[in-house]
Amino acid sequence: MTTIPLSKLLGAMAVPVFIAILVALNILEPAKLDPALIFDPPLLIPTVNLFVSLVSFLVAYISARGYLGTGSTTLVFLGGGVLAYALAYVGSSTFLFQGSSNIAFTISAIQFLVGSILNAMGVVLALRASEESRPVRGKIVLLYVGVLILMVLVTVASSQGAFPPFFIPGVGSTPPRMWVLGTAVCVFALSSLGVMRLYAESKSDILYWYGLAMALIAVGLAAFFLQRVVGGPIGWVGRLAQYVGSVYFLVAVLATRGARTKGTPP
Amino acid sequence: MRVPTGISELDAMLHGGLMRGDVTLLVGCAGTGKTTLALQYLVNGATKFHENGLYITFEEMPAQIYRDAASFGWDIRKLEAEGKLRVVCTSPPVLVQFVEQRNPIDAIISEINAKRIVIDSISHLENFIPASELRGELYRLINHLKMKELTSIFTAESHEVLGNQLVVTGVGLSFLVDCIILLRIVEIQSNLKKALTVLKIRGSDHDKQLREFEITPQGIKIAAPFAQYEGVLTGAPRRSFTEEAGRAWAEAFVRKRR
Repeated sequence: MTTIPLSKLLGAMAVPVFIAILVALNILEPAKLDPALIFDPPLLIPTVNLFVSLVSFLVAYISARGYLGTGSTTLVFLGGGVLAYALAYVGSSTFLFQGSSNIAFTISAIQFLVGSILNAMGVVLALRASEESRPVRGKIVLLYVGVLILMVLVTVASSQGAFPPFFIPGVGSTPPRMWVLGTAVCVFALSSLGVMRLYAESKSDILYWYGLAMALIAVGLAAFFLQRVVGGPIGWVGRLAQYVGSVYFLVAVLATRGARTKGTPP
Repeated sequence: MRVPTGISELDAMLHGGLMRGDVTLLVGCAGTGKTTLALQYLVNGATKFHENGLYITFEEMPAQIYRDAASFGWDIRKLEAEGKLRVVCTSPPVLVQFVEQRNPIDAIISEINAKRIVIDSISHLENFIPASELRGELYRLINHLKMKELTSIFTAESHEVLGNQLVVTGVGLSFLVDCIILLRIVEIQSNLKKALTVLKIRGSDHDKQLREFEITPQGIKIAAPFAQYEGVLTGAPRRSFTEEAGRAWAEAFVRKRR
């Protein structure tokens, strides 16, 4: 019988703990929140978001290197998905800082959705045990640039009013945002299950932490459904879940080195 | 003023070629291709750039040189007959005298109007000249070649085949020469590969990357840099962290067909 290391057990605990806290807060948090419980300093969110973006860019870069080294198409989609996730943070932080909350939430919601779909495509390819092919640099460049162009187009379209509002200041999130985010949450959660299924076969540390990271992203995005005000406890728990998810991405990256020295599956 | 070697990738690494009148040290262990590269420099000079050359060897007889060159498609005999190239098999003391007095080597340089010279290999001087005098003799030799406006290549043998130590020569020759090109054997995934890098060029920028090269039937062919590896000069390179991580991720996400 194999024993699971304590670090992995503790890591996995984060998912139910965050869910439990969110459920508890949803029950306990009053509909009208005391202003003393709202914490939203202007520079804090962009600063922490920068960490999430940098880690995600690193994962996207490593995925690209992996594809170019092996030709695994799975990594093209995973990399594109994580890049979209990183750009969601970059775009939303930029526009939140400028006070354009609707544009910020529109960009983040759509990029989260794109990220979740690309990630899911990668996971599906991995589950189907798709063959590796000769790496074509243009393929990954096309996808990465495409994700970037999509963000620019969404930004332009959103600022021109081409989308229905995703966020109305003083009112909150609108149904379009909820639908888009809701879909992203479901897709991230399903992808997480898919990655964990792969982990069950290979016991790869990379898959373990990557799968948990996706689960935490799903939990974090789900918190947006419950939050009543930006900067409230539910919102921060949701953000914290996503930040911890980024730390798990980083652990997955570092697991590469551990696997190399210990000879365990990567 | 540049002197192209005619090996396009190497010339690109040297930003156009060797500097005219400079002395280049081509250093590497046995079997790395020093002689081939040096001969290619002379043959290209004679056939592509109208610069005649002199090849001085202490190691091989001319017949061996002709035979080995022929395997690369270089007809040394023909070039000699045309007065474009000359192969001289001599001993180190003769070379040293060449600095001091008029001798056959000086005469050959004048006779064929040589612009390029290769001395293969300078390491043999160590066997004939006392260590205390070697640096001074080399200094005089280099100055003599420069006065004659010859663009020179000295080959030198490094004793370490693989490993993390690099001793170019024991007498400080690396300080005397203007340019150093290092040839090295490295182990990559249980294969021995050849690596080339330009360590220095006095008075010029150059490519600092370590590149793989092969000895093909056409001569030296330099390929892409070892960009995916770290520690290549130690002789036992490893992939860079991001490259290693990328491969590990690919391996993790690839589900084996059952």
